Amino acid sequence: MSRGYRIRWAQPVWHNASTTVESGDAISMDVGILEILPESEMLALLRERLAGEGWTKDEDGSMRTTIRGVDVTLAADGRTVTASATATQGVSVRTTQQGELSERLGRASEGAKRQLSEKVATQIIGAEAEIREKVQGALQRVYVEALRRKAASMGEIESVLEGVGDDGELELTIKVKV
Amino acid sequence: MALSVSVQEGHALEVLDLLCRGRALRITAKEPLSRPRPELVEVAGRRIAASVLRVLVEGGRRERTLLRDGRRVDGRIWDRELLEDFALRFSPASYTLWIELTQRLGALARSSQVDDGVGSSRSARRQIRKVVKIADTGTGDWIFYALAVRHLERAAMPEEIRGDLRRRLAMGSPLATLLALEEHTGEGELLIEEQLAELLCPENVRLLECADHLFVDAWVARIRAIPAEPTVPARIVRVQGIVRVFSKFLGALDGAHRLDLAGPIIDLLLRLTGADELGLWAQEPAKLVASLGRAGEFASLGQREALRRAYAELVELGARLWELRDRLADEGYGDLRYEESQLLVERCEPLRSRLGTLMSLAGALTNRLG
Repeated sequence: MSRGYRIRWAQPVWHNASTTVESGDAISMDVGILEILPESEMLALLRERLAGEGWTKDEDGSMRTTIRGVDVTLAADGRTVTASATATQGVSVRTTQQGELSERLGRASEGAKRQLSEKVATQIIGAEAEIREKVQGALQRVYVEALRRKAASMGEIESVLEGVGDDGELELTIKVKV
Repeated sequence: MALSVSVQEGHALEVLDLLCRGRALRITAKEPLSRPRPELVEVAGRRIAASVLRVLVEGGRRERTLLRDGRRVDGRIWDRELLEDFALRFSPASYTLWIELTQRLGALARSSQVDDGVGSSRSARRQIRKVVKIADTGTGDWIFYALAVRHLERAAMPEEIRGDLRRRLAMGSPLATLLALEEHTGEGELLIEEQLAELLCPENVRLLECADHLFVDAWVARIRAIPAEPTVPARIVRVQGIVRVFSKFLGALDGAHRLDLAGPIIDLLLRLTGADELGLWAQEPAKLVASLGRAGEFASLGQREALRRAYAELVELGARLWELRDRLADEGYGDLRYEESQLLVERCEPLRSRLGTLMSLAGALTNRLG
């Protein structure tokens, strides 16, 4: 035997809220250019080299590029390279209690921001070695060029020998007839 | 002098031994002594004077080259002709430190005196102000306060309370400021620059000449303890404070034409870059950089970088000192600072071979390219 029951069940009213969280982070690296030539000439050589590798020049003299999604900027005075990244993420919450809405949204935003921060940091750290390698490589070519110019200013260049030393460092031998 | 003492009096003398010699307390007193009888005050006075004099005797007994009126002189600091008009002067502050700490040490050592996340409670800070008087302290008090800074490290008390006591002692004594590398900028107190200028004036500078042997061990311990600060912002503040005290000390020595007294800083740099277990800065730069904080401790890469850059400034102390040495080395025979420069140049020489280590460490800390 079965019996029928009638029950009343109020349909819940859902309240929604959403926001966008953003997280940014950056690291900077000091650039110590050897003054083989006057500082301004060394900086001009570095800019030239970076431009040749696809970096774009800003109006204020700074240079920028993107490596693995990370924005890389050489400061206008050439003394700092900054690697920065930002990320955004939408966060939405729903609840039947309107009073809880802002608190829930705050908690969810905080959690999302933490995750985003970690993501951004991981992204920058992941690109750091490549950024260092690229800038260091450019600086090395700048030193080679600066040494050639310096040698040329001292006399007639007879030969230039480039090689790699036992320690893996670039070795440059320039013979100058004075 | 034979003196029978009660439990309270024994406790008070143990507190004094903690301050003067770093001896642990064994006696506890339910009602600590507040008004010592004259005989006990005399014993305490003798102990304070003996401890202070021991510092001066140890530092001043060996023969060395000293600077007097810009000229090099060989001898012991305590030789009459080298001592000039130095006098040890105590104010009531030393007595107050002893007797007030006797009464309040038990309360200050309780962990309830610390508010979570804030530091010492208001009541603890009020008690510390009563314990350590900072106005009109004399040369004797300066040494006693410095000894207290050194020995309170061994007292059982919350780190926050110890830190506030250290800072307060530093406000009352330039020697304590140097020993603790404690920056203080509170309103109404002497600024560190003023404190150091007072220490370096001719009638007081003997203290620094004698007390230089106290510094190096304390400084090494302070620098080694940086990663133990509970949070990254606290580590940054600590390093920046240390850098500023060193920087002001070097500036004061330069201003007073006494860079020959930069010896302890040179010894510190030699110790930190040495090959033994204390050579914190001789290890692989990457290892030291990593030791400043685990990846999870940093709120952001920016914070990580701020800590590393602050630490780099500490490492660059060597380069700063070398610059001063180079500048002074230009002094020619007969110039005002010629004799001072000769002492500094000679003292700095062992540092020459360590400059590379310091530079590569500073480079690693600032991510240097080029």
